[in-house]
Amino acid sequence: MLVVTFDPEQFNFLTAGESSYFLLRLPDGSLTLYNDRCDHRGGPLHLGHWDDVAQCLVCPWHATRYSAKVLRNRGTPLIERSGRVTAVLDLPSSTPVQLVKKAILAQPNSC
Amino acid sequence: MNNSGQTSLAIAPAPSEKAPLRETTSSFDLTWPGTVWPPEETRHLIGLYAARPLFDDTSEQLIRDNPYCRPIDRESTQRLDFNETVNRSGALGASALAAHRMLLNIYETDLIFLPDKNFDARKNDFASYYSNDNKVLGELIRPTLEAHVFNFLDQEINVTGKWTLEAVKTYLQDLIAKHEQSELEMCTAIVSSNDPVRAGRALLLQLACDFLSEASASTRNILGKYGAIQSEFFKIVIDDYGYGVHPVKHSTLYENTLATADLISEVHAYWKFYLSSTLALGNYYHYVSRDHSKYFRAIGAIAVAESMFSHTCRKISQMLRTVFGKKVDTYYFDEHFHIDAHHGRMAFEHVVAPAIEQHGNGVIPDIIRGMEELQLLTAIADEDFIAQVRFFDAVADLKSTAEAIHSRIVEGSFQPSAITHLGTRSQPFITRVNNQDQLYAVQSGTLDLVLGPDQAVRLDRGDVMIVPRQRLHGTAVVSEECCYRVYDFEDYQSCLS
Repeated sequence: MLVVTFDPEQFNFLTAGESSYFLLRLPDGSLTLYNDRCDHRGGPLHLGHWDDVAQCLVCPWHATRYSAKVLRNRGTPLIERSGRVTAVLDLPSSTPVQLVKKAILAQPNSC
Repeated sequence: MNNSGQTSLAIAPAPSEKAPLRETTSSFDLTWPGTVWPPEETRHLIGLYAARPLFDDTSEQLIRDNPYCRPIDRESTQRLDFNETVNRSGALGASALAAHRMLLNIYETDLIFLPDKNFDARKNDFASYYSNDNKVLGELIRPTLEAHVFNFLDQEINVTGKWTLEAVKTYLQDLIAKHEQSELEMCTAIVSSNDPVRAGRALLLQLACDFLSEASASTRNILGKYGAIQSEFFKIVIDDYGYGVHPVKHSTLYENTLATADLISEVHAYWKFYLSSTLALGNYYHYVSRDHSKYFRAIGAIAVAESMFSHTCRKISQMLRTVFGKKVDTYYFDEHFHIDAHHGRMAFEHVVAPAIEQHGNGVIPDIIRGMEELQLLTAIADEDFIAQVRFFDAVADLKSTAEAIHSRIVEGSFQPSAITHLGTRSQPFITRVNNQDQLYAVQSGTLDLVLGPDQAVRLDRGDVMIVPRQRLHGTAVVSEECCYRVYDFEDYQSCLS
């Protein structure tokens, strides 16, 4: 497994090997690091949108929905403490990692 | 101390007539942090607790042969508001210090302390400390105080995602590896300070708060019946207790360290010099171990503490030998360097991992939270201690800066708020922290600003000095009387621009 620590203000998108993950601040204030690939057909979830009424993320390709609870509980193991986040990725520890800052269109507006 | 005149619940029942218990409990408002008591009632109860004669301020700087005498600064405590929770920056403030003093008093009524000698002279204090009055009143205010000083951890720490045992193991291993590569900043600060012996002694007396009753909070988790991990947990605790062999009980080893550094090894002799962050660390173990709904947080905290303490002890041992030379007994730290390598493994492999396997991944967020909370409180304690060491070293600068600011005040170009104090030699001594920077200006007589048990800054008439916010200090009048003015600033450095 691979442990990555970074500043969530500086980076919000992580690529490790073939996998990508995006940070999302949920309406309850918690932060989740979620696999960017939709379970349905692999759509880029960070380019989805947040449905304020249903409180869920909507995939940009086929509108697959991810509730806040699912995003919080099924994301990558993540700790946020004092302005730093640490993620534990289920990848070999030698996997190369790239961190970038992107526009996360799925980010709830209220956060 | 004399127990006569002890305030009791019988004399001052709570809740008051204005808000009888039945009405209060019928309108629970969970917006009050950590308690169902209305803020006004809580304030009243905290006032009663602070007024107990056992916790009165005393004139001595050190408390000798009396583990029950634990002053909490009644005057300040009765002015402070404990109903709002502190944030991280407030964790070293005045209300946090008062709350932690009271909390440690409350928690430790569950532990047995006896003076080394002169029990007869302390019999009334013994009875008062363990009395139902003291314990019941403490229990009534405990949730409010805990919420006041620990709720900020919920804001600072956030655990999400689909955790597994393997992820926890990987995370902990990564944490330990990084810790073992690190230098301890507090050790560096001690060695590089103007007076390493004074700074080294300052660290040892802070550690005495917890180490002289080591593992007592953890013993709260060895009772009950919860399967094989209970027995594994017990093994860690009995190591700390030296398997019943007193000379190797860890607290005994620490007494030896204190003695060889010319420090007193009586429990809480240095009570008045404990930093807020020192008390917070000790109280945290009680906080998560006394409330068994926080059991998984407790084992997370203990796993991380046991895993990291080995390297910490190695570094402290090296620092002590550098500072004190061969005369200091470092066996306490050398023993932990050895045994905590085992305890870290035991705590994870035989307590944390089986707990997850048996009770499911749903307990992991609490375990991780405990690990993180302890690290955050440790980081705050390290920062606080280093700031205090730098405060010791900065006296000359703080005096010269104070002179520059004071001359602007005298010439009228700057008018901060100020209070004039008239103190006497016989007044009680207590240490405090302030939430703002302060300038002390002695107008008549002589005053000692006491920064530590072996450091006082003498101020005669006309002398001035800055005390930065959140730095622990006390005042002791040296002359018969002393008149001094204390000016408040948001930021003393901005007064120079």
